[in-house]
Amino acid sequence: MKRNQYGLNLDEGIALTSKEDFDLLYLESDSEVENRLVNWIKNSSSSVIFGGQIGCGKTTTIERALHIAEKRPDIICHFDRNHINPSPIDTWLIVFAEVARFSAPQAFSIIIEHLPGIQKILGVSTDEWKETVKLTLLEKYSPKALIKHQKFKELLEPLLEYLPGILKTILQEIESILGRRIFILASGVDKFELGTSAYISLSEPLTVLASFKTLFEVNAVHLFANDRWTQGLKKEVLAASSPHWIEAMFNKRLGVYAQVYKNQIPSLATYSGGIPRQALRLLDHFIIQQKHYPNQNDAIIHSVEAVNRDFFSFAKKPKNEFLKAVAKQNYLETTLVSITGDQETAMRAVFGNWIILKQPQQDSRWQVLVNPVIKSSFADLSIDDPEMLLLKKYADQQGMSAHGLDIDIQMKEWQETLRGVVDHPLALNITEILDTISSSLLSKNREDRIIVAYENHQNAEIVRAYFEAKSNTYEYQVWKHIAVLGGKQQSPLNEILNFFSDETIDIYSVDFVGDFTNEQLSELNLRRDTFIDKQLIWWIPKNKLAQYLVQWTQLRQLFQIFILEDDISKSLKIEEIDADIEFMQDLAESENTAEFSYVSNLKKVLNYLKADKQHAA
Amino acid sequence: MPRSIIQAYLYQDIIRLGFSPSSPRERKSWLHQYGQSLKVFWEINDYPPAPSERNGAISSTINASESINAEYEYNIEKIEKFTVRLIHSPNVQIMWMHDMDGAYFTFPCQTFLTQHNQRNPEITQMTYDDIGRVIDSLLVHPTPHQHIESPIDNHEIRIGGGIINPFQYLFHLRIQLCPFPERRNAERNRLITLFRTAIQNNQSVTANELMKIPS
Repeated sequence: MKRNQYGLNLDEGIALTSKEDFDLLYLESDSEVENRLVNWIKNSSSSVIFGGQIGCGKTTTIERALHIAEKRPDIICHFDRNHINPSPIDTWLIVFAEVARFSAPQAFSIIIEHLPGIQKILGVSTDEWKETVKLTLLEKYSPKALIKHQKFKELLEPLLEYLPGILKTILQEIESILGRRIFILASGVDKFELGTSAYISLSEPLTVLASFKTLFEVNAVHLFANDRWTQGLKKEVLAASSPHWIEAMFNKRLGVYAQVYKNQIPSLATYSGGIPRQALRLLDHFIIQQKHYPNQNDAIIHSVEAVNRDFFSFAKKPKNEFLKAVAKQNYLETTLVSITGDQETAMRAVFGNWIILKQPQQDSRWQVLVNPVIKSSFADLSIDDPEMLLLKKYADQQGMSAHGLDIDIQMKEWQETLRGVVDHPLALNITEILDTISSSLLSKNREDRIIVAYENHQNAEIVRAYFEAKSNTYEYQVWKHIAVLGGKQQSPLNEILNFFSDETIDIYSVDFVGDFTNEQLSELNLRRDTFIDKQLIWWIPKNKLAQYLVQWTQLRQLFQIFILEDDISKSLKIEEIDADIEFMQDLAESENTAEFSYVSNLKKVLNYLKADKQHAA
Repeated sequence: MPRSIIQAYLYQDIIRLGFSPSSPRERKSWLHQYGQSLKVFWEINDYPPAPSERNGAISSTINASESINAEYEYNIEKIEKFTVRLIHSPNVQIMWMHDMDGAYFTFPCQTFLTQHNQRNPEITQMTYDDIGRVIDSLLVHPTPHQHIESPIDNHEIRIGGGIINPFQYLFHLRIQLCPFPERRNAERNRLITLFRTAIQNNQSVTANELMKIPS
């Protein structure tokens, strides 16, 4: 991502990775965890589990600690990528392929000795191994890569019960050759929800890795769950940042423009709950919303609504009683996380960021807060509070008049009624969506992703043409659209990965057709970081949105979610489209240019609108 | 030869070579590239919408809210008839409208200079400082200018008065609404170099060259 030197640097809250990112945007952590991690990297020979909630800055902290310690891991296993189905054999494949990659130059013979047949798959030379491992791990998806991946699995499958021992022996022998501990980073464990079959499939490889010097990147729930592989290991938790730190981060991200927003920064920091990604998403939405609302408090509230929609609408919800109790007590007994039943409500609340960990109190008790953007935090509103504006808008869309609200507030439990209304996110018209996504979709410098839920498929196609036109206003961006079929006998993840292997595309548009199974949706969820460097638009039928989002706790962190208002003719006017075309068509001289794409797509929209008008007449 | 005469020729040359796209297509291209350049020049979040055209008049709205909470709308009917409205965006309060109406008499500077017929000998004597002074006068520190005092109080923003060329007007807003002093200086230096070459060769500056970002 290209960064600005002095001005705005907004994104969807992705980890800082490049030198430019750190030079411009890194803010010294307000947590001691980073120092302890540096110390561990430099001096320790045993494993550590490093965890935090979604979006709290784990990856950035790890990158920073590695930079300060001036050490890189010898082996990095990305458990959230490099697989097709998160099964035990896929997990082992990731570990063995990474070990093979590391040992190719120095311990070639050890692997061959313990995994006979590996040469048939990876080749006979060091260089060949390095290239083939990339294919085996599906780093670049292709039919050839898929065959290698499959063959490697076939090699491991008959050895399944012996793989823990084989891995341990190989690593020990490599350490013996090197004369030091191997440093392993087990990345992406944080994406796996406790109790799922995908998570269980990780258990054995993680247990083996735990006996070496491994840094495990996990979610906070994994720290509290006390699973077998975590027992006896050193644990580090990255908790929420302070409001002051979030404000300082905003100042960095706003650059010279921070001065303009100095009055709004404290409120936005409060709504962030101390979660940097949530803070950045709020800021991103606020920068858009503040152009439309004379009262900046209204803009803040609409930003809160947008973040609520992105992260929480239709999510797996903990019980309301639990949230209320937490809100009242402001602490969480973390041993509750490992207790099953009751819809795993504590685990769900921590894993999904419904409650936010602030700091440890005593023993297993943590000081927490209920996430400020979720509706439970609206519980103590009075009619004069700015959130009322939003609630009234919800009520309008759901057929409850604002006037009715004034009456309802005299009634007992009126807030409960309203909270029920808030369960259904606001639908937006096409220009409202375009306003929000214009900074990302119109620029190749950002890689952002959106989900658009639609009611009417033809409308969705027109909206797609409109977005394609607008994304080509100033930069030529190649779109490609495919329909991916879900349901039994289908392999949607394969299809999507295959689609992504075409690197000539700038914006990948995917229509989710058919009935995706929960398993298929979970696979996509785990592969979140595969999508991090892509501009994506996913089209989902509105009646499926709830089913899909409930499975996408991780995935939705990278997406903005919009529900398209059904009547697109309200926001697209024939005369405006005509005027847009009139200006640009003189500049559209040849195909494969931004101007040509802009004009040709707007003409599609225009034809549709004219036909629709004729039909109505 | 008085420096002021040399600078008078430079003044007219800069407008002629940099801010007078001749054909309708060139004008559109200039405005399109202008809009495109602002995102990077101001280091803001998004591009402005593309201009649109109704009955031959081209208009667009440029949101400069990240720097001053304002936006400006331009409407260009022809090169001698245009308006630019500056609007304070949070309360949608129009601060002023710059309205150029060529139906009224405009002092014919070019005619006098042409009759004087000394361009070539004069420009051979131009210095870096001469071009700098003219660039300042046209764009960086417009000689007659207004400061906004309310609701935006920023003394570094100088909105030029008496500007009769729409492209010059828009380009000077690009500089005036840029909040980075270093970039404004770098842009001034870039423009001096760019126009010195263009004037020496008597060649137009393309929109693409004009809109580049100073390093």
